[in-house]
Amino acid sequence: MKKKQSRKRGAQNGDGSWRSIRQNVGGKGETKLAKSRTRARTNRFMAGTILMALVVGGVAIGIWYIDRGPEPVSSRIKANPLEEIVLLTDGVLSDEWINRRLQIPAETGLMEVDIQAIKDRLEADRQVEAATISRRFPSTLVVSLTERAPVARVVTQGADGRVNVFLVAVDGIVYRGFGYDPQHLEVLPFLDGIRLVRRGSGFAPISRLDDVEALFSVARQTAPHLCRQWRIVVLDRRPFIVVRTREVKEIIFEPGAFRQQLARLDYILDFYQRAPDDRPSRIDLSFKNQAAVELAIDQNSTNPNPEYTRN
Amino acid sequence: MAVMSKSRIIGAIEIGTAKVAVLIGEITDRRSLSIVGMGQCSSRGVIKGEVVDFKAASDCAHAAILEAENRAGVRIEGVYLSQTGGHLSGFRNEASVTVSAADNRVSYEDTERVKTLAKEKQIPPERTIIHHIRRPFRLDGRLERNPVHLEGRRLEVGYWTVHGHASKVSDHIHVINGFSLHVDDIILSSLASGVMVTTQEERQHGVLVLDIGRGTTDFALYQEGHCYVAGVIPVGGDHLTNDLSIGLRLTASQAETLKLRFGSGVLQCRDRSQRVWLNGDLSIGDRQVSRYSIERILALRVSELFEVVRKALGANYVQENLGAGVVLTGGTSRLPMIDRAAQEVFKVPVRLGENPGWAHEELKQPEYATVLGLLNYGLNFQGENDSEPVRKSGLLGIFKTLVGA
Repeated sequence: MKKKQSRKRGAQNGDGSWRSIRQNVGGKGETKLAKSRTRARTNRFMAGTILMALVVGGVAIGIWYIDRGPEPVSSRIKANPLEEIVLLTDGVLSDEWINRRLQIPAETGLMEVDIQAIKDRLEADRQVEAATISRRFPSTLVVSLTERAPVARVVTQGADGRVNVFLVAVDGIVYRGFGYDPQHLEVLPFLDGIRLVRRGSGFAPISRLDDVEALFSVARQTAPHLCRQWRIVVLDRRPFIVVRTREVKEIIFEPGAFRQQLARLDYILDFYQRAPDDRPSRIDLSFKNQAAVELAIDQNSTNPNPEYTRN
Repeated sequence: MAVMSKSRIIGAIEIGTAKVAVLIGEITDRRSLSIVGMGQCSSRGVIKGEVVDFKAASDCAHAAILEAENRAGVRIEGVYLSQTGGHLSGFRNEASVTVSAADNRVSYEDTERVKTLAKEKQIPPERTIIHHIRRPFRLDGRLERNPVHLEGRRLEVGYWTVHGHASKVSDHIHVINGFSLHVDDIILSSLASGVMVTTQEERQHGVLVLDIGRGTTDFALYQEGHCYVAGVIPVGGDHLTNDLSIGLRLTASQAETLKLRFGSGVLQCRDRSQRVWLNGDLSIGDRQVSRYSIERILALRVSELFEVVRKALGANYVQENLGAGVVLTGGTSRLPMIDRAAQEVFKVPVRLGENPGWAHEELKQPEYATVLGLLNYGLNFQGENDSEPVRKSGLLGIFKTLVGA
């Protein structure tokens, strides 16, 4: 570049000035010192350029690495074949049921098992709340399940007229239920006053049943003789819980303080057991420290008017 | 927003008969100059300021440049090169024009026209022009610094044109080119040193500057603030040594030693029998030499040198026009009593030149006047001759410095 400038300048100054002398910068007449200086300069330029390229490249790689997010853990190492599957569950599902869902072919290597697919297959059944699949090297696969526990039952009628019974977990998930002891299911109340919406092969979750679960839990502990009589839980008057028994048409609980409400209920039922002429048809325990009792109208009764009516 | 300062690294290089001196200066924002590096090397391959052995001259010049660059830690971007040598000569050329405007007021075009005419004189093809040194304008005989818009009829201007042998000048340039450097400008040595050792006031009153080197004596005659005449006499300190060597039958190095130890510009010794030891170390071969002879030879030669200068100046030398006298500089001006010898010839006050106070102590010696003057020239005239872009001290500048580009 400089050489070009020099020639151009020389060409412009054809007036006998010294500037018309052509300057051949870096041409003939280079001494060893000049050559070594030029070499050093070139080397420094190269080193600087390489350094700059490395810095720019490093920054670019860093940005790309940060931008793409963490890479899924994978390995190309051929591990040992899968020799053992350990099945763990906190519920009632059998090993056979689980194995059927795993669908792992024989002769599969441990690293070839698609953990995510197995997890998805297991959690597709609503009885399984969570599935954890882990490899235990060198050759073991551990499947650990957390199952839902039923707190109530619900009866549905299909398009063909067939009646089906489903279970409802505390989180409102409705599922068919496998492997439960029928005696255990027998004591679960039926839900009424809810609207089931079909979703896929099952139903959409209903509202959570924490309060129902709490009521039944307290009742089983403190008044199991009462609890055994409860057949139906009506949920159409939330937040109140309405329980139906064979003797009493409606027992109304309010959320919380179930122990006190059960105590009052026990007292009331005891009281009316000693008065065979008066049979309560409706007991409202949702009043603080009080209870409203509606007696059934008996044709033979001397007192036809109810004491209290609640809408 | 921070203002980005612009700086440029220039090199001032003097390839003399005695030494090659290099100074590196950093010019910032075209206003301030900082001397950042210096290099020096004993000269070889140069006689009377002319390159006679290209390789030897290149070797020592490049060594000096490299030393300066290493000390400064920067790379030279453009070179201001001094020029001397017996091949240089000059001539005066004058021209005049009639003021073109009807109202007799001088226009800018008039000044350009008369300047072009004054520079038109042809030179032989083997010669090349170093400088056109302009003298003040004369408008109807009156001296005018800038006659534009002034009223007059006849506008005159004169130039002192310095020219040299093209091949000799090329040799100097190619020595620098061999170090991958571009010569931005060439400056006559006497012009460079003259500005350093004289003041503007002295130049206004009239002063003659003599830069006496080893191989040549450069002279510049200033009047009315302008350089009127400049030239080179191919006689310098080497000739004094040579005369001593022949006259006393000594080797050149012995003669040089005697010159430095007992030399004088005028004959002071009255005792013809006074003798001095040649080496002074009582070694074999040491002998006594007449001091009278030493001083007489040197005084005659020095006086002759000044006579030659005076003759070269010719009619331009008018004693009455040298109000500020004569200023001596250059390495040989350190010869004792040389100023008195000059005074006897020129019949005007003579003083030894001193470099400006801002120069570093190391650069105060008279032999550095030229190279300092080159830097000064680079500061005041940079950008007029070169087309190189100025270096920016930004990110790009840092990268360029890093990679040495």
